[in-house]
Amino acid sequence: MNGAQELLRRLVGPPGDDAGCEGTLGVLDQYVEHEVAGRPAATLFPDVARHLAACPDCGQDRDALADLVHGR
Amino acid sequence: MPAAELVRPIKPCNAVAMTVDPADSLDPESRAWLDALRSDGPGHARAVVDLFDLLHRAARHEAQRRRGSLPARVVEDMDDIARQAANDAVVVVLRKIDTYRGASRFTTWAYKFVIFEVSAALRREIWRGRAVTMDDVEWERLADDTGATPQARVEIRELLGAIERAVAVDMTARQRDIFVAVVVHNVPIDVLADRLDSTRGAIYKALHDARRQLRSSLEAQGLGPRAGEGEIS
Repeated sequence: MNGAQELLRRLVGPPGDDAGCEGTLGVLDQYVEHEVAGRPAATLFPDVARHLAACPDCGQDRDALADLVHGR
Repeated sequence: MPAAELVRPIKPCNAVAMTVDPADSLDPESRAWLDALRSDGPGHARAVVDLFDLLHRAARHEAQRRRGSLPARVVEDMDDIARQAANDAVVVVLRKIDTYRGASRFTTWAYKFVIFEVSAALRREIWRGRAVTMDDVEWERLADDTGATPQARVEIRELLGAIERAVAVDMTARQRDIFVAVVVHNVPIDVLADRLDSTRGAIYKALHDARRQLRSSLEAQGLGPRAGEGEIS
């Protein structure tokens, strides 16, 4: 990926359907349990994966929940 | 902002995963939490206290995890922030308890609400007293062209010019303000929601629309992302 394409990716976000913040929060527990178990969460919930890549706040919340679940 | 106040999703969540009937799949620990919190007997009050303790520990854990990035004044208030987040999350969990379907462990399901509360509270505290900038964009600073070839530098400059024009001309004022604050100045969405008396979901929706507008404007000029670029699967 060259510099222009990297800049574009950061500014316009990933293409495709996006679950939104509420849709993501609704299944974030399932998403994280799949991730922690090594299952393909992004394949099971593609619109959530796109949202987590595009929404910095929800992405941080995913990391926080994963840290809690992983350390349980 | 309680989690329940988020606005409707941009798209319904198209989960490929199977939904699970709670009646036949709950692990014993989750079943015990659910039974105790739904009961009318003396065990209910004890379960609510236990739930608070669980979520308070989780909130403190998250605050501690972020400690290194928190200003000293926020570190001093961490315990109060964690306690308030746990209190708010208990209210949300009890209100939503009948929506729990057992698709994850009960504790994971409950944790997500306290993470939402404590994260939002920490972001607001970090930004308390700081101005939120929605203009003064130095577009050329968005791209690091160190090491880029002369040709690549030309492409980046051309792209930045097109982006600046699209943001100024094609976005609504609200889209422009939110896009610049979040994407250019890295203002947390929760902070912007707080300042604009809105919600995380509503601010994100405006950001999503702004990005879609930008993508469309750039594609019309032949400057959009290459096919397949940035896709997530």
